Parts: sequence; C-alpha cells; structure tokens
Amino acid sequence: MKASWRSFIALLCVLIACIAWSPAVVALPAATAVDSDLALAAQISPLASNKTPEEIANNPAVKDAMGAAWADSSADNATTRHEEGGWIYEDADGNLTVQRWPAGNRSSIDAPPPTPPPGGHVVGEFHTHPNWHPPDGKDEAGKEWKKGPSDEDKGAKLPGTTGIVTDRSGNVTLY
Amino acid sequence: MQKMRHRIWLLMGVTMIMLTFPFAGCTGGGGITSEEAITIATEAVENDGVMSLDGRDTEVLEEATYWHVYFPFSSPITRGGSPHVFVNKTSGAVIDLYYTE
Repeated sequence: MKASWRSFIALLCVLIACIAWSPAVVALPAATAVDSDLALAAQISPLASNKTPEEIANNPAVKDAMGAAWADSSADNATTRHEEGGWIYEDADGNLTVQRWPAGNRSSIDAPPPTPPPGGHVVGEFHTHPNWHPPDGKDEAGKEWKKGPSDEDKGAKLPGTTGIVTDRSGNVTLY
Repeated sequence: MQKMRHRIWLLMGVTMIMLTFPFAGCTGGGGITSEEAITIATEAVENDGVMSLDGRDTEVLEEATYWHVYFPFSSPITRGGSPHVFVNKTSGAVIDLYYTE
C-alpha cells in the first residue's frame, strides 16, 4: 500500500509537469531557416561600406529614388495606397545606385534577391510607409497605425546594411 | 514515521503542481487562456478587414492585465507590419487593436 501510494504521487507529479511544460517545448523558436537565409545573403553580398547611414540616406541618387517611390505609393489614395521600396547598392567606385522592388501591398512589400553591379554590394534598402497619418497615426477610416519601422522590417534587413523608411510626415527613419 | 513520509510526498506533489501550473499557458486566475485570446484576436482582425492573416504566424505575449496577440509574416523576405491586439485577461474584451507597417 505504501509503495503504491508513493508511486501514484510520483506519477501524478511527472504527469502534471509534462503537461505544464509541453507548450514551452512546442513553442521553441524555429529561427534556423531565417538565420541561414540571412547568412547566405551576407555571403552573396559583402556588406562592408565606409558610408554612414546618414550619408546613404542623403545621397542624391537615393533621395531621388525615395521621392519617386513615395509618389508611386499613392499615399493620398485610401484605396490604392501601397508600399514601394528598393535595394541600395554601392559600386566598385563608391557610387550609390538603386534597384526598385516590385510594388508591394497596402502595408507590406517583398524584397527580391539583390543583384548588385559587378564589384558592388548592398549597403541598404528603403521602403515607404503610406498608412501612418499624423498626429496620432489614425487613417481616414479611424484605423490606428504605429510609426515604423516594424519588427518585421528590422528582422528582414540584411545585417550590416542601412534600412530607411519614409512616411507622410516627410521624415526619414533609419534603422 | 510512515504518516510523516506520506505527508512529505504529498507536500512535494502539491508544490510541483503550484510551481508548474503558471507555465502551462493558463492564467491560473479564472480568466481567459492564451488560446482563447488568440481566437478573440483573430476574430477581431478578420472583422476589422484591414489585413489578411494569410501567410502569417501567431504570437502571444502575456502582460500584467492583458494578452498581446500579433501576427507577424512567416516569410523572411517580407518587410511589413502586423495587426496587434490587446485582449483583457479577465473579461476577454479587445482593449486595443492597431497596425504596424
């Protein structure tokens, strides 16, 4: 009787512990695939640059491309507004060029694989945020938007490069 | 002596239950669970009609008085935002719904 009582308690404890901790086991982050993608991208495209994020954002070619992307975003049209963006490359002579991405959706955009010029590399990326409205972030329909960049923006950016977001306030946010 | 041993075993069992129960995804206080919060948040986002939940993961954070449920993109190449929903832990009411971009 003694042994069976002890066994019952021990079994109960183990069972409850297993049930209690199982969500933590199931919820382990599956970040391996993302990490390997980023590592591969970094190998394909060397990321070192002598330019600061501010120098990249203020480069005339980059500013022109960001202005064009903002215009293409149709930010003032509540029905058709969408994100635009592109890669920023530095060529072998240190000049910056831009390769635009295909147009995105209302609040997201996919970056195609970078194709820097021969001898060049990725130094940054930019995209537009047409939804946030000053002063409180609410759009015409009263939906609340937070000013970016989002965690997904930061997580998707190639390591060591500069991320740039433009919004309707006219400000440029670096990340 | 035997009675004492039984009490010790029983005490150990109760202690383990008390220590592990809060980690089981339950509120432990009679409120709604994280799974219920996800269901509420999903319905709120679908009813709001701003963002589709296709191609998104589901994440939930436990705060002091509410569950923070959000739906980040699954694809690592996507730049973009998510719906974020705060669900009251006691009542299950949606206390905030906002979007990132």
